[in-house]
Amino acid sequence: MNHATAVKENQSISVDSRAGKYLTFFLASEEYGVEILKVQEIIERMPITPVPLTSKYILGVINLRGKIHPVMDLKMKFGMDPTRMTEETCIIVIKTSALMMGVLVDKVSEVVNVASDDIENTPSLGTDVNTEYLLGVGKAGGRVRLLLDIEKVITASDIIHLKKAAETSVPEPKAETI
Amino acid sequence: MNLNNLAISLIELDPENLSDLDAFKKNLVLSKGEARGHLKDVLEQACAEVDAWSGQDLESRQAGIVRLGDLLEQAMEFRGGNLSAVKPEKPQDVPPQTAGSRNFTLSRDFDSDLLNEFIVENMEVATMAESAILDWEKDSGNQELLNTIFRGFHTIKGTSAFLNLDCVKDLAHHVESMLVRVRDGQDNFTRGHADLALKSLDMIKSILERMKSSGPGQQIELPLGLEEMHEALRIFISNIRNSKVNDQSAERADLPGFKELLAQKNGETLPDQPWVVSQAPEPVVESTVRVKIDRLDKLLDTVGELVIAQTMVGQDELVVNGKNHELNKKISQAEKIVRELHDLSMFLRMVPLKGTLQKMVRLARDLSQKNGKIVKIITEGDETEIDRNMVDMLADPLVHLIRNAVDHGIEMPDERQRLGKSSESRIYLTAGNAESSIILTVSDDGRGLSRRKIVDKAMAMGLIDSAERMTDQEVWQMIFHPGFSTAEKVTEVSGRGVGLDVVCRAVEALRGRIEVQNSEGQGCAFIMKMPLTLAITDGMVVKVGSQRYILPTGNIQKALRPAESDIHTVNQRAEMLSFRDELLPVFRLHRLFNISDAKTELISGLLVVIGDGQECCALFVDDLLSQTQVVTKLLGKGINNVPVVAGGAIMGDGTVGLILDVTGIINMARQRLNVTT
Repeated sequence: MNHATAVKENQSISVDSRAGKYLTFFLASEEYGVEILKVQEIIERMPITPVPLTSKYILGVINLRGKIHPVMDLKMKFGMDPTRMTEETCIIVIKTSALMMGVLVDKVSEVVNVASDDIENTPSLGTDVNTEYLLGVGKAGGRVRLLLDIEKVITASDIIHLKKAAETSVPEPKAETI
Repeated sequence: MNLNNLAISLIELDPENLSDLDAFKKNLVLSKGEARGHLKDVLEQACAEVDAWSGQDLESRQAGIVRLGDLLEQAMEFRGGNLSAVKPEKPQDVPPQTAGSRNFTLSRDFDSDLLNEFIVENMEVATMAESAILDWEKDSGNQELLNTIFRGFHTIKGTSAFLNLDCVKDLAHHVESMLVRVRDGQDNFTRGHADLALKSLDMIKSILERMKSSGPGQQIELPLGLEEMHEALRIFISNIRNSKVNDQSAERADLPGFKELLAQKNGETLPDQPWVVSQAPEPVVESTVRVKIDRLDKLLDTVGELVIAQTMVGQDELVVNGKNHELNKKISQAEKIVRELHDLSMFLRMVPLKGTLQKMVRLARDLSQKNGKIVKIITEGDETEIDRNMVDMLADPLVHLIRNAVDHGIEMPDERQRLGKSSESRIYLTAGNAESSIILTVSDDGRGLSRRKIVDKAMAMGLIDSAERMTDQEVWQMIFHPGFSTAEKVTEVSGRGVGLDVVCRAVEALRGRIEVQNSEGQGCAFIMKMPLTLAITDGMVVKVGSQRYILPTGNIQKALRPAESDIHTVNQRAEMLSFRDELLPVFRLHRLFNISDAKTELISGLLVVIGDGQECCALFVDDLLSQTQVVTKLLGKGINNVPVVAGGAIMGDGTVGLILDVTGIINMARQRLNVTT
């Protein structure tokens, strides 16, 4: 999170802080990367208990060795189609100083070392695409990997839905039947 | 310069040290300059006394100091201890007053772990000493108790000296020197001793509390009254010293508690002594290990997982349908052990209520002294254990109940005699277990609740129109209403009508209930019943479509299959259920939670009547699956404050079940209704 702001301020200065090992995974056909240090573990998909009144992209909660952690569908979070469960679908458990959360991805790819020379700043893509979650773009080995600021992704404040519903006072579709 | 300070520096004066004497003289002369009238005369005399010192030998100097003490005391009587309203500048040679500064900085060099350990340890020592002091008060001849108190202060002094915590060290030191004199038979025990020792402990505790919330290198504001405490201690010691020199018996009798002491010494029995904590068996020495709570929680989690894993093995097809008898035997053996481990782990977090009850004894003691009432408080069930997390939550309601009992319940001694009761009143504070809950009772033999007064007040407040058809129990329940108080006057501690409301809420937060038993004129009892632990929830598993939820049993009043005639609709939208002559709103869980595969016909499903003590409603679910006991867990951070979910639980099959928060559901359903209608 700090990386991005630091970069904006000093475009020309080295981007060392973003270099390092990344775990890469696929969302549809796009390859993304998260800093390996923030990855707690990768688990197979398991039964997820939905939690009412949360955002659509929050799939629910799972039991990870006796602790309960929320799981989000990363594709829905980024405005893509919901993830279809396949054999390769899995949950990457992200651990930050503040919280732990699982993110559902289509397929885990590999661990790569991204050197600072290979990192480019995210180009401005217009208003359609929200690039605030991107640290930059890694281009090692001729492949484009979108490096995620995962901490920013999972600490987004729109997890609980009710507040919104109450504030807007426009009845949600599901409330209309009441 | 303040007369008190003068008196103190006098006590600290070393008759051998001439420069000290000079410094004192200077202060005295300064004070004299500010004084007026008769006070000036007295100080004049004092100056003359001091002037004579330089030429005298040690012994006559010592005698002179004593005389000077008397003079100063006289002077203090004139001006209540204050020479002038103008705050004089502090002369440099004031005796080293460590408590002089309001702030205190923890040295940066301290290791924060060490500091924490120090705080925890000293808190424990302080609590132990406090309880010993309370016991000592009733049994002042007990050297063992005195030694325990002594050791406590000594430990505090020693460890705080190690950390350079002068403010704590000095206080402990002064108390120690006060107690030494009692121990060595130089002074007799008085109530004043106990008072000062207890107050000092409070002060030490409050300093420790402040330290807890800051770290090394940070500044701590010293609690108000610390300086006064030091002074009080010094003056107290000096009073006794002076009284030794003066007419001993006359002076002594004035000291608080002395008469009681005499009485106690003469009659071996102690029934007249109000502060008896009875039913306290000889202390059981248990060796303990201090374990960090997060490690403990982790252990509990792991054991929980183990139970689930074990269940999965036991229910595996291979095992259930298998012919391998030996294997089955081994598995059931393992299961037995796992269950035992599970039961055991549940009790790891339990702590005895002793500490909490002790605080209440202290509170009642202080309050009754203030009110001039004679109260004997009797605690029972010290050893009853309760979840550590609940202990703090329990203290609040108890404080309010004890305050109420002392302030309102119990009559003044003379009034009690007029009524034919013994002038000494009793408050019973008992704790005990029943099934899987804990029962706490606070009862007194005071005047009890007055039905008439409560009804009058309730009518005045517009709560009821008439009380003719109300049972006593219903009337008593009204006292828990916010703002309800029949007290004629508001005192410092109670009468504002907030107390019982707080009690009620706290008990509800602990998933408990409170009952009142009353007999007017004879006293009343508050009986609180709550679960042993909040970690385990008794609940019903309900099914809504493909989802399962856990409803806490405590919130469920009844589950019923509604008949068509029980249901009434409003505007074809909202639904109501007639239940025991009442119309309850019906909330459909599947609509609130937007679940599509659930039953939609009310009569084909189940209505669960739930309430949070304030409001009731009927919740529509598909079916009731089972009754269960689950370990309450927080949902992961970030998703923790979903308003309708109280927590999660790992179900038997390893998935997560959601425990519903009834209050949240009712609130949300209301909101929804408002939005759409």
